Amino acid sequence: MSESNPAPTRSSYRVVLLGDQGVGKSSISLRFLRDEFHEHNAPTIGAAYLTQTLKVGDKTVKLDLWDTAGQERFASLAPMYYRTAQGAIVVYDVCSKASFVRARDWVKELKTQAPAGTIVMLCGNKIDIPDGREVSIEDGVQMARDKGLIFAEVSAKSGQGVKSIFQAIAEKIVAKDSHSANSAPPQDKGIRLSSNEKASSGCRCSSQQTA
Amino acid sequence: MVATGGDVIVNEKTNKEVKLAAQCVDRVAVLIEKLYKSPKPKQTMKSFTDSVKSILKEPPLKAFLKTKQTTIKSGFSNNLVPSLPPENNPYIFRVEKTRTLSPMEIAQKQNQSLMAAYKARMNRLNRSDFNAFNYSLTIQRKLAENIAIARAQEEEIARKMQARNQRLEEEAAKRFATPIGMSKAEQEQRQIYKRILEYENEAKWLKNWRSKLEASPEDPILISQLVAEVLRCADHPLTVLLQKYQIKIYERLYPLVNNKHKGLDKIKIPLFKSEWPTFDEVSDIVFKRQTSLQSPSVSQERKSFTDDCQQKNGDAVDGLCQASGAIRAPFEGIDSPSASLVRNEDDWDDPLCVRSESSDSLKTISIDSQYSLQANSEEDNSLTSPKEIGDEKNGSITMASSSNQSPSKFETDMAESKQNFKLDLQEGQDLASQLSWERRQAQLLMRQVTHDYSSYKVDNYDEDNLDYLFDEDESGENCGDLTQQFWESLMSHRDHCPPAGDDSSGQDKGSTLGRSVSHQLPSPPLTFDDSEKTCHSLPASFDEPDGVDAKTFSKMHLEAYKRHLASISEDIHRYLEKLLVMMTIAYEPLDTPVGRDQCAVSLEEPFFKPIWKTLFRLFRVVNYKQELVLASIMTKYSNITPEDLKVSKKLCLTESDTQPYQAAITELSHVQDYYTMLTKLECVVKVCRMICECVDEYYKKVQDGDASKKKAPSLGADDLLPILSYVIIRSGLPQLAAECEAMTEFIHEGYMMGEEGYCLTTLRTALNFVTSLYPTCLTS
Repeated sequence: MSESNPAPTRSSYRVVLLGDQGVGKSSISLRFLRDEFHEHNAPTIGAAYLTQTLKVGDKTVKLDLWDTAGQERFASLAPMYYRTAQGAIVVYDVCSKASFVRARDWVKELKTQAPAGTIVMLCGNKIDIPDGREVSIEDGVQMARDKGLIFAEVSAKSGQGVKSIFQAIAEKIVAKDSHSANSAPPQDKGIRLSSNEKASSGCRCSSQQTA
Repeated sequence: MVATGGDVIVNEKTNKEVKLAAQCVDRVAVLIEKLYKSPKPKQTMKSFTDSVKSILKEPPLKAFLKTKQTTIKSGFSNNLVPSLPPENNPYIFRVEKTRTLSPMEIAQKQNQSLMAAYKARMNRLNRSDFNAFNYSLTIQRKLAENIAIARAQEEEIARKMQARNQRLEEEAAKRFATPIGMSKAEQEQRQIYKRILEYENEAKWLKNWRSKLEASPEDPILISQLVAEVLRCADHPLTVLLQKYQIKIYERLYPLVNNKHKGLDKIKIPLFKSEWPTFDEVSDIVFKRQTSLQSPSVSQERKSFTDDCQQKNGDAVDGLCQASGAIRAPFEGIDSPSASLVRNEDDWDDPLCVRSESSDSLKTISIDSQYSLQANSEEDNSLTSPKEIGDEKNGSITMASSSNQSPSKFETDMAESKQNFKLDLQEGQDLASQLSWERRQAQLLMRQVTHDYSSYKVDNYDEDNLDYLFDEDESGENCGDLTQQFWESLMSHRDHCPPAGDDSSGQDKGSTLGRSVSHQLPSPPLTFDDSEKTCHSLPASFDEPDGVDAKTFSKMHLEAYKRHLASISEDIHRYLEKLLVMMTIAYEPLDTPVGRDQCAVSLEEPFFKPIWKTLFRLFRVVNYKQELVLASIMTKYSNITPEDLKVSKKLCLTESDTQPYQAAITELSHVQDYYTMLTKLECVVKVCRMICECVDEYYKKVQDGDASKKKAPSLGADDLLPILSYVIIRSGLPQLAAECEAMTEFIHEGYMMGEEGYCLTTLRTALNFVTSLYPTCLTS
């Protein structure tokens, strides 16, 4: 089936935003959208789903930003979102220790549950609030270093650093993608996805033999 | 006849006219009689009679329905798949073969009229008249001449046709470079391509599309028009191919979902509390998705477990085959010409098990088999069912029914029972011959079943296997015949000598077992308690409640249905792919990514439309439990508000005149009206957008009153998900679960990238969230 249909342009990537409720996930992506290219992509379903194009080297890539629900009660359903994503941004509120703890859980879950090779980024939001800080920048850096993540602190309100985080994750994804594209024959988007499927189809094969 | 003021004046003229009319009617009557009774020696006569007959007897049926009926062969005579619902496409048409009458036919026609004229003249002439003889000669000569000329013309035409055929063949050969070493599929493609070329000779306007397509090969509108145009011709080779595939799918679907109406119709809002599933039953549904997503290894394990079960089932069926000769009771049950035995595994798999009363005894047999299968796959109490029935029959065999019997034990038990049964057979001389005969038949039947079953087991069967499944080959028909014979002989046997006392009691008990179980099965909230009750109500000899766990039972049914669905879905994918390939072969310019894509989209509607309802029912059967859960929740929370789902205050839209998010709820309820996946997906996207619009509109209204009020907040997933959950509950559509599954299955990944993908994922997430509310729904 897959070879007959158009392979979606390889320059389209899916990035999910994870994090506790109220840390400003959707504000970050809205800010990113509004600041950069006004004429593009008017949001149709609020800030839940946004697309934005940006330049990586000489390539134009399109980022699909998928917002997720941060509430605890939806947490178990998040895999449906990040399973097919190439990148994930875990957002926390620098003014909330609890959200940072939650972010740690997210990172842990992503490491074990997300398809191998998903680019994960840690992002502290609301640095514009002058004296509410509960999580120091060092804490964030420390966690990112431990887990091998990209790290940034931003302010969705002022726009500080917002563009650069998307630029950074896009570059990482593109680099990763072109790398695996070189090593593996070109397939549909999402090398991670297909490797995931390989595992399951392999098991189907073996079951066939036993049947 | 002149009527003046109530008087009827009958004059001579009136009389004459009445007489004339009577003569006319007589004439017509004679004509009709002739048409029916004459041996129809002439071609034209025959076709005319046929058409008259068809007009008189049957309403005009669509030709493809006729072909459909012929494809269903006698093998399934008892399990007739009704024809696909006719497509209500007012534009459908077939190319009138512009073929005029062949010269031979013209000659025959001429001869006919000559003969008629001759007869008329002869009637007028005196027989002895000399002229009569002359006429006779003349007419004979003329007739002969006509025929000779016609024959010559016919030969000429045949030559021309041959030449044309050769040309088309060459053209097809050009398109498919190497005729040697072509695979079967390629040869088929070549044949179809040739037929398409042939067809276009008749339907010249189709050729214009080629040039149009060449001019703008990537115009999506043009492509969809082309596809529509081609499929509008009911006898176009591509249309025929499409219909062939549809019928194949339909014939597999129908036996699976037939009789499922009752079970599915029960799911409605409000759902009676008695129908609510217990938590135990649906715990796997409520928590299923998370676990299987979070740890793929679990599902893998589960898979291998079911594979094991399948294997064991296969063994058990074999075992049954061997035992069946001796064990008469279960097969006594076949008292309907159960050609459907071939499809018996469907019966085993039936999770809803709503069946017509007439097949009660068939139930008995299938349930009996279920029992033994179940017991065996559980690895304890193996052999229980056949053994127990055996006990009933000869009342002499006692066997230790220890749990955890090993398969080898099973084998020895089987051998032992077989021997005992054989002894019994010798005792009952008058029954023996009958029994062995039955055994042979039963074995044949069971083999057929096993064979079918094993071929179903293989998830990815190849084309050949498929052909085997669909073409009722000789063995299939044989089997049907045998069943028929079997049944007949059984009936006659019964008439002659009523079964012996203990025999019949065994039979009774067997059917009690079958009935009580099968009557339990239709009600889905089948709790473990229920099944225990059932077992207690059984005769004392059936002490096997620990072996038969209703839950595992229905779980296996469900697994089997899932396998069916998976393989049917696979077939659908493959058929769509094949159609697409054929399309690109027929219209070369389509062979580009954009062209193929557009072509696939255009093919979707004609493909899914006729089979969607049936296909959807299978999806519903598979998602039956989740639907029940959703229906219970929708019943319980029918008056839920956004606040209840902890939607943030500013998005609860409490001050609106209507129900909040009414527009989105209405839109979501339309999803069931569409029959192609992409239109459904569009609908889902619309629902999400509508939610945002509702927010915007609400705030616009509020602002109108008071400009100082805050503007519409932007909507993130934190709010979208609870709102969507609210919309789902309010929509009262438990079948959304099946809709989502179908969409996920058939929408190509390419479409899942953008907004569509996000909306569908969000809808599925929300559905799962709603499902997970069930424990609270039960307790509160």
